[in-house]
Amino acid sequence: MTLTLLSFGPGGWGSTLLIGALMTIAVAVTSFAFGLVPGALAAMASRSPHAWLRALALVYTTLVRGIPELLVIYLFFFGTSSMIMAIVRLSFGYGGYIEVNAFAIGVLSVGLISGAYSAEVIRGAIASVPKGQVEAAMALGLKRWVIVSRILFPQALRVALPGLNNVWQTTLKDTSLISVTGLAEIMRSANMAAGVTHEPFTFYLVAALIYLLFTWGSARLFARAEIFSGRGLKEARP
Amino acid sequence: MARSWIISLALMVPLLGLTPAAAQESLPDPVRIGIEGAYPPFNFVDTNGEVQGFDVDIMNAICAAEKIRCEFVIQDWDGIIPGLQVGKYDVIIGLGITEERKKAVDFTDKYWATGNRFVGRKDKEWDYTPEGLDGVVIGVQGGAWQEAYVKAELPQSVMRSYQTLEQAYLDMEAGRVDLVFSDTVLLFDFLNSDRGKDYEFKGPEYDDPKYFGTGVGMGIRKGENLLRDTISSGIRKVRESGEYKKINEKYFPFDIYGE
Amino acid sequence: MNFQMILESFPTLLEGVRLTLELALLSVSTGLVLAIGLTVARQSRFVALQLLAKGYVFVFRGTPLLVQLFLLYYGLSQFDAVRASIFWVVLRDPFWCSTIALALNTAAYVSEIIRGGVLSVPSGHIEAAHAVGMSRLTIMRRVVIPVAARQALPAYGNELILMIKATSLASTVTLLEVTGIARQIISRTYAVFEVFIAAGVIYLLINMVAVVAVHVADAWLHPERRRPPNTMPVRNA
Repeated sequence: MTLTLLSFGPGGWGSTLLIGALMTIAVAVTSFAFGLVPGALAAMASRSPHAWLRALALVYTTLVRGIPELLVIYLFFFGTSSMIMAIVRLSFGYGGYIEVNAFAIGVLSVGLISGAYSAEVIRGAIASVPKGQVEAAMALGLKRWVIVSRILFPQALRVALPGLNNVWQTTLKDTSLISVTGLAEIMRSANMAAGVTHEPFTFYLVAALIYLLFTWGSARLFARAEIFSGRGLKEARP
Repeated sequence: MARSWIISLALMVPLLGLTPAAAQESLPDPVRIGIEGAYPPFNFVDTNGEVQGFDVDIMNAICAAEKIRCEFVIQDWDGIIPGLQVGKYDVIIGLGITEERKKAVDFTDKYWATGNRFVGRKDKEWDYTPEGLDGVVIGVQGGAWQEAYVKAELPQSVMRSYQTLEQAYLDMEAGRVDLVFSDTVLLFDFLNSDRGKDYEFKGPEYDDPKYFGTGVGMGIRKGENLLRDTISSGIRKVRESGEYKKINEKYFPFDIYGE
Repeated sequence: MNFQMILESFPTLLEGVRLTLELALLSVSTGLVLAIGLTVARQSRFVALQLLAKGYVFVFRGTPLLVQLFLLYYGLSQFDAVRASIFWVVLRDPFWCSTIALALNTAAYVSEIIRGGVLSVPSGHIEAAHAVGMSRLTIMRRVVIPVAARQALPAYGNELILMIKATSLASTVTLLEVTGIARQIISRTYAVFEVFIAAGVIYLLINMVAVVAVHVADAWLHPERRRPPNTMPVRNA
């Protein structure tokens, strides 16, 4: 019974779930990567000597992290399409409905949320690099860019990786919320199948296993990155 | 620079209002119907991704009777009202009509309405009065009419609100809930299924209009009267032609239109 | 957008704040204790214990909290054995189920955060502490924990906020915390944006308090940033 429900043939939800799974991974990867941009910018801004830049970073991270994810997604999805329609109406006089690509909106909203969390992780990681090293590099006359790429970045990356891994996992699961925009990712597919077949556990378990598969794969990548960025350092145990 | 700020502020105003277009003189073509697709037997998506069910058949019949082109848009229930307001579709199928909701959306005439009843285990019986249900745990669907009724009329019982009826059934099976209170037609579907065999209808049928609204209709953006009247007239035509009865019999062994 | 509706929903939503806070505080504190246990287990010499802790973190971080809560609340209750056991007293109650699910989930994340913090302690520090003859416990107390805590705090602040928002999932198992009440008002009135914005403001305020608390803790953990007492600030020439 359960197996036929999950099969790929007629009467089975296999292909629906597979498409949902692919959609989830596509949205999650794009959102996380996109989110690193505002994340890094906010982290840098929060260390800036200009008070207004620090304030801007603080407003972004506090606001986006502080309100529930679902609200951010609601406001983005329906906000952007209303705004674009309003622009078109004012400029061309066309008053109809314009479909805004649900994928793009999903990436934009989930990415901005993800970025707000990355910002904190990146900020902490940069702060963990001892000030003396940067001062020493400056004393040696190294260029700003060299200091960032050769001294700050490699050391900060090592510290940031576990935190970024956490953010990535959260982002992966946040994608389940964009189903309100009509995008059929894995949670929406599972919900639909559960509602139609009255078999909620089968489908929630399958969804959980698919998420687990994704995190398993990504955890391996992060572990390799951690080993790579920690090369040249030995671990001392108390 | 300052001017562009003013223009963007002006653009924010309709954004906040979330009204996509002024009231139309003509009907949209096609008329797009927002539908959940996870509410059998009323509407559900089959494994090919097509919507089916009572709602779909009725809507197709209405569109044929009014000679309009209709198109279904599947939308998660949590986003169904915002989707209407922003113009993703023009009609939502299957909204319970109440005065309070009329502040947010307009309704067509009802297209189904059944009474409300309790369902409970066959081997248990209560006295269905406020005192008789003292301390009894009643499961309802959150925001449904039954919730308001239990809150006001059965204050001594313990109410639990679920997001879906499915969850209320699960908790009744687990013994966390004694009775589930909902629309007769929905409960009928549960009782008829394999897992409903230990359960039965309990107590009288409730239909106090003070709580139970005036049935289930279609939701339309406020002010779009032409569309609303067209759909309402479609419902009447389908009733008169006997089409309704045919579709009704395909899904339910009793009349769900009410009087 | 109806601003009146936003204002009108506030008082009703505020009734759920207490439950939201109870869920958050209880699960965050239990979760922290569990997380410390998990971190210790991961550093343990027993391979079985290490694997167990690793597996736990993997499963709980790897699956959505909503699914975990559903399986704990609706899933376990389908087994007669569970309903007959002594655990049923706790498991039949939606509040305890939510608290347990939230605590189990956050423990997995927090143990990773603690691990990251411990890893950031330079090995030279620990070797130096060994060299001056500190005991294992003293090294933990005087070197590892203070440095690791500083490093872990920003990420822990993230987790706190995530947990406060995650309490909203308790609404799916009938609890009427802020989101539960918001959903009730929405399905009664269909005023989706208005009610969600009002609820969003409430969560934002709660989270701001958490952010301020984390900032205070951060300042406390970084004594070197404080201005020494009785010194005049030096003006740049």
